[in-house]
Amino acid sequence: MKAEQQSFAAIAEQHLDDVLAYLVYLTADHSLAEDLTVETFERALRRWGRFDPRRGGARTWLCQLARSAALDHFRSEARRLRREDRYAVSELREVPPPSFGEGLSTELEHALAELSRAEREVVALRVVLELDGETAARVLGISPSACSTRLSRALQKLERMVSADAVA
Amino acid sequence: MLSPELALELRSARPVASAELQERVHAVAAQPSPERRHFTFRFKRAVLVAAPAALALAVGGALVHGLVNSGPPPRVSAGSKQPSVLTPTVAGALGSRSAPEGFRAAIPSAGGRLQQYAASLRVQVKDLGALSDATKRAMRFARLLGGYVASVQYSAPKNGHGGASIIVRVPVDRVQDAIEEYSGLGTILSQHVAILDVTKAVQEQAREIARLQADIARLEAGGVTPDERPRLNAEKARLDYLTKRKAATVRRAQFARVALELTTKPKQAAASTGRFDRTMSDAGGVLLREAEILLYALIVAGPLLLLGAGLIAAGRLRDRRLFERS
Repeated sequence: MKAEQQSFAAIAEQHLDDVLAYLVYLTADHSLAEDLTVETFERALRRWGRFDPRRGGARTWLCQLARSAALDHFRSEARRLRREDRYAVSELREVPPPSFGEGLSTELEHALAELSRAEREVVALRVVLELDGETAARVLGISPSACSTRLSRALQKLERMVSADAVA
Repeated sequence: MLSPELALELRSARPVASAELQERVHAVAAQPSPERRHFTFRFKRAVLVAAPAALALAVGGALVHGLVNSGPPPRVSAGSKQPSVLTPTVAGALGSRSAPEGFRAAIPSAGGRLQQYAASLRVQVKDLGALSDATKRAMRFARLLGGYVASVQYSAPKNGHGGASIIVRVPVDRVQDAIEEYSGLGTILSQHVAILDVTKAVQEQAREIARLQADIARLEAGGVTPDERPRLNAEKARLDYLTKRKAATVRRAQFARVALELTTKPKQAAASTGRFDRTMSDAGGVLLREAEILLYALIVAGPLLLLGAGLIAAGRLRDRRLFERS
């Protein structure tokens, strides 16, 4: 029991930054990503008994849980927005500027903000976290070829926007 | 592809957890975690195991059912008996293969009593030619015994198996001869004897006739008054009816009714199929039944499955739209 607790704590320590980075790219909101990171590790703790290392590494499992937590948040947010008066909310709501990490150039930050969530998350998994194509596809719940296609489009878009910003 | 500079920039500037976040996550990780399960249920693996197991069970069950029910078929051959149709008095007497002996024992001697005999035989002959000969021989023999042919039906198609149904009436004292003769026409498939003792009924009829005759004689001797005329007429009518009925009963007791059914051998005998064939046929039937049940279940559950699939697809589409936003 003690060893298992330490093992979970060690995994949390080891992959905290990975989970946070993934969620920051996915949500484009640093504070929301932090909340979802905590939520992810709470879920991981509850499901620790069902974690099977033979089915994939801890990082893959944690990214899947992070995605699930983010998806639940997006769903509830979409429901909330539908319920409320959209005009009034958009005027009242303070939208924080997207931030994907300290030290990123303005062009790159802007280009990342222009990508869709799906495109940003594949960039996060394949470029930032350096997951292989198959593992990234498993996290996203798509085929490896679809993952590859999505990454290719996202990177082309990113390059194009960065170049355009640089010229401007 | 992304330029190495951009990729390096993205990696080097990746978000790092703040001290506050680290503390929050450490607090979560410090909580007691549930025990790790040694056995984890995996749906895909369970399906991979359960589907062949169910298939094996279905096929195995069908084969076992086929094997259990593929014993030797009921023999419908020479000497087979049908004691269920026999009267209790003759059922035990037909233990031997030979019909004449069985019938001889089954038909007790009248011993001065009036008894109505009814016998029936099913006899198989080898072909249509034998059927024709046997039919003619049976009719001729009935007449030879002093009896008569009550009815005959003969059917001999070019293809398929033919048959003849003959009903003869022969004197009771010659019924054994008739049975012996008919049993020799071919292979006996079944035989049946029924005996009805009518002695008591005839005696009662005789007593009633005597009483009526005495009553009528008494009335006529004393002169019939107009009031007595209807009664006399009724008694005469009753006497006439009873006299005729008694005569008919006695006549029926003098002639036995013998029904002979002749049939040719079926072209394709069921006994030719082996046990393996019967097993496979039975197993195939069971599998067909299982397939019917499965199809029925699919028809019943189909709309629900489609509804579920539709809901899942709609949910996935909604999630995809959520991820298409920036």
